[in-house]
Amino acid sequence: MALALALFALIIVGGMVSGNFLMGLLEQRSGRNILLVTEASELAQGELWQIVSEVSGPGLVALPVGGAPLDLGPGTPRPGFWLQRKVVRLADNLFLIQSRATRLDGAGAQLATGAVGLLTHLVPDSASASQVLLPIGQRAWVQLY
Amino acid sequence: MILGGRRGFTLAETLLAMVLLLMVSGSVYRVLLSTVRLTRSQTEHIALQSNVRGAALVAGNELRELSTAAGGNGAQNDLLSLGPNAISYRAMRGFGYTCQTLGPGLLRISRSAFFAYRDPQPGRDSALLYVSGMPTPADSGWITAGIIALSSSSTCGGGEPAISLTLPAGIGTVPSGTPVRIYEAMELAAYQADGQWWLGLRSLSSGEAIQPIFGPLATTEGFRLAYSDAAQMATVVPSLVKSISVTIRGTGVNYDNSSAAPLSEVLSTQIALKNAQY
Repeated sequence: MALALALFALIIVGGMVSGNFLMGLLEQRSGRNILLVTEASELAQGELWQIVSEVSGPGLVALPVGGAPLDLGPGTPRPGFWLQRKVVRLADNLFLIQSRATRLDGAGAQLATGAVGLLTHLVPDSASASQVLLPIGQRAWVQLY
Repeated sequence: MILGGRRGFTLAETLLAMVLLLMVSGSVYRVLLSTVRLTRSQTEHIALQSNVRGAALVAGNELRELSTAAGGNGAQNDLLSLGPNAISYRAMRGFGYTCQTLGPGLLRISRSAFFAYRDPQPGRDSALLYVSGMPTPADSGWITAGIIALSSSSTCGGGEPAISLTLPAGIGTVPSGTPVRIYEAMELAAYQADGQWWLGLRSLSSGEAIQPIFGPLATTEGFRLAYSDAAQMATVVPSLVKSISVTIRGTGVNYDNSSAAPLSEVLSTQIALKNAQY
């Protein structure tokens, strides 16, 4: 009788521990998803400024106004991420830089994505006597979805 | 004792067995009870942590893209009112750029150049248009206009799917390539309902009732907002705000008898406004 009772209690306790373990696993996954989205968003954000510093003024002026976006390629390869970087010329001196970072798993499947944009324009640079790309004065940063 | 050739139990043996059974049953019951309490407590704790984290994410996503400019006009400042446990602001809901030049007040945005989690809603949403300045870029700026009508079945030049917005004709002709932001006035606030405090969100533009996004909050200091200027000094002037500190303190039922205090979880986050002008 005591053995049967003990076994019954063990089964109940075991079930509860398993349930607890499952809850912990779900919580861990939820936290991990937030971490992955944050990683992707931060990489996309950092890449915006990388594009601003590396894109040349003459190259942008050659873009057609309202034409297809210029694909800047994936940039510096980062393990576990896939980057898309584009520039589109909206008006004579108005450019939209788009940066999209995707976090991948070991098999290359998408885990999370972050995408941001920056409205920029070319301004004369007195030091280099050329034009440099800078964010517009107001509301330059854009959350893309 | 031997009775009819079969051996039974003495009274002493039976009593000892019953006492042992009671002791084992009592121990098992106590383990069971404490495990139940622990399970419920941990489940409550996990749910609370997850909810607090979710609420902080919502607050961050709502506030991160806002613009402020010291001395700027109304169109440049997205913070409408500030309070210690409530804030109203222009929440960005989408971004795109026009693909065609049409008549006064008419906009057409290609679907491939429209980034939003929902389509604009006339009457509820408004638009911010970037007008390139003449003669210098320094004269450029954003103007606001309410959305009067929306058509989601139009196309751009090459038959590309597009959405069309009708704004007041007074804004004039909007050239192709004009950046357009979609926004609505929102309020994020702590409010009381059913004797408990909740964190809620409501659209001021549509006049809807506040909806809970997280709760219950702790009775005191459940939702706190602090505003900082460029020098990281506290400010209450909307146009000077460069970052917002959000503290969310959630509460739950404590099933663990070791403490009489209710379960509590606090999360603080600092949100730098990406479009604040320095």
